[in-house]
Amino acid sequence: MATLTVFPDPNVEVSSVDGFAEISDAVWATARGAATGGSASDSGGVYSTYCAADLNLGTYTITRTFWLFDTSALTAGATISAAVASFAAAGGASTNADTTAMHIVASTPASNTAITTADYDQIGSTTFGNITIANWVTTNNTYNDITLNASGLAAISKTGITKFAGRLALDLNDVAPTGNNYIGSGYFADNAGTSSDPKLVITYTAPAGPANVKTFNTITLANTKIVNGIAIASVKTKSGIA
Amino acid sequence: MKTDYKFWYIKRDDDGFITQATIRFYEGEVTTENEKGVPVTRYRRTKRLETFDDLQHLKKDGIVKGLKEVNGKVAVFYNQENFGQIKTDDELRDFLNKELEKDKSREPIEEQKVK
Repeated sequence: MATLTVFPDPNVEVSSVDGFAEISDAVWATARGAATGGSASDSGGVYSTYCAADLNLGTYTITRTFWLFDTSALTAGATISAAVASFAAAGGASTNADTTAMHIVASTPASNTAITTADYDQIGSTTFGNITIANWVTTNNTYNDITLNASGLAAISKTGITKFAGRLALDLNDVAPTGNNYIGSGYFADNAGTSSDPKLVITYTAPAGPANVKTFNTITLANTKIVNGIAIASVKTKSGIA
Repeated sequence: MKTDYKFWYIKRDDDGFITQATIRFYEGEVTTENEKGVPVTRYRRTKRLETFDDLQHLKKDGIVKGLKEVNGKVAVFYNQENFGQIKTDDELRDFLNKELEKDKSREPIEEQKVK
């Protein structure tokens, strides 16, 4: 089947973005439930804690990562059958005190082209797929793949922006960490070159193209095509017969 | 002034051949700025290149081609007429690096120079 591979825009963004929002607080519930993060960025090329739910020296830190993809090239009539989100490691070590995983969820940042501290809580609670920290390969420029489940496939926009985020299972399930837990350094689209950008590979069937149906003796000529997911048929008559 | 490109999307057919690559071009400079309180020296983009005046490599024999706007978003569309029968991202990068090299007014970033 055909595939569409889509990448977030780097700064200066056009229609999509990637970045992170994070917070640190001495109280887990305060950190997890905050409406606004303490810091955010959408212009860095690499970040040392790509996704985190961390307890260090009495302070909890949660890092939520955002990836938006302009998937409008699919068009409304496409049928999606599979998708894999991939993120390249930047060589930094991970920590995994509580044996956790990074989950892909939906996100709803205020802008499609910026990530700010106000987007910290604009993150979903339904998992679209995950990778355990134990399975995250930290080797520089190595992609780590997450196969999306049915909920993830349903969240892909065929005509606009697909909005995903990453959060650790501890954050997703509201389990306070007992030590350091973070995905080691990972790349964002702002990194130079094109070999380490976050990407979403979608397997799909394209909308049916124009079809011609002819009967014998050229009595009936029918043309059908799909426009915006709607079948349109025109039938011409020949010799008074449809 | 340096220049680079980024993929927006790549389409492949049932056999894995790239049928369309939609690209955006940028200019920028290597600068040092604080990121999370740490000074980081790297290439930073300052401008999208969206006009034919800025995209000199799209001009061939005085014929302008390749620049399209979709939903108000300007990008450069390449297809098999441009890059031929290729399957891999690396083959696409080799093609685009040569495209970038045609613009003599800017210097490609190191990662995208023709080797």
